[in-house]
Amino acid sequence: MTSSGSKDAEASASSSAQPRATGWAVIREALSRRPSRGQWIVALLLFGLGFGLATQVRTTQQDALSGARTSDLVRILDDLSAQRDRLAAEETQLQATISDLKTSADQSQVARDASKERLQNLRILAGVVPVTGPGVTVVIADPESLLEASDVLDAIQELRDAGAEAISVDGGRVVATTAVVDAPEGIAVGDTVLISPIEIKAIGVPGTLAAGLSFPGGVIESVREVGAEAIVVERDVVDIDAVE
Amino acid sequence: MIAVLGLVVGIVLGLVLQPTIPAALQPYLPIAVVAALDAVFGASRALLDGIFNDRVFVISFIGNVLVAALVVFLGDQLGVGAQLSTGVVVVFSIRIFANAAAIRRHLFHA
Repeated sequence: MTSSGSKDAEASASSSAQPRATGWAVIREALSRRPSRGQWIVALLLFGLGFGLATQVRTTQQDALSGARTSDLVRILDDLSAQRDRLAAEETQLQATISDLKTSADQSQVARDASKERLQNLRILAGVVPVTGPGVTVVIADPESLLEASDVLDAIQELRDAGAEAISVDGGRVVATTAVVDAPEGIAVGDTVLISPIEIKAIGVPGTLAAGLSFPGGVIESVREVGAEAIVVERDVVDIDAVE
Repeated sequence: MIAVLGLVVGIVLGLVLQPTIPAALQPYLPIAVVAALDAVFGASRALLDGIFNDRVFVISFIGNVLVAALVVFLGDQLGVGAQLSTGVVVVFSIRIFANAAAIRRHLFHA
């Protein structure tokens, strides 16, 4: 068939002397042929081919899914479902991580708050910060300097026993290490020499503090026995500005 | 000449109009296009062989398209549409390569 075909081709392109130009001559001849009815039909078919080709190319570019088969779509759907499940699992994991981190952050916050509170308490006890709160003021009038250091110390100890958080005597803060001594000039509390009237401020529960001072045989009574006068006043707000 | 013009006009119109293919025809169009391409390559080879015939081309073109569509349709009904489509494309591809080789030998003697 090939040999007869080539023979025919040579016959139809007999005007061409060069065998090399045979194929091209056939094409040239075919292109310059006058349109016959058969040519029109061929043109129509090729038009349909071109149209279908272009349409298919466009469709494929527009949406890969619309041209896919049912089995392919099912596979794609399965893939996407698996992917979604995987992502959902990942999301759950990440949510758990978030809540873990939040919880630990909360715990840190609680610990930090507790430390702050403890620090504040220790500062109050150490007397390095001013304190304001409910409490009592005790004014001891002792114009003749009849009291001794032990009487003032008794008062301070009673206030401490009654739960006083902070105490000051004549503007000097009283802390754990504050000495109360009899000095030549009078009674010295820390660096402060007491001058009548002696003012003692204490912060704590006012009723408890007052009761701690006023019970029979207590500080007030012993001060009176010595010959001085003591007045206890319960207050809602007592300011102790003095710091150690 | 007019045949080549028809092909060009068809491509241009398809690109410009962007027609929507009916869903029922969607699996068949690509196969039909490949089948028609095979017919066109076969016709080109026949032209170079000097045995081109309008009638033969028209019948082979339409026959190719119809048989390809029928095979795919049957495949879809039997549940092996994807495999049969692949098979049809492979067969036509082989034929197109063979025809292209023959055309190349004619035009370039290589």
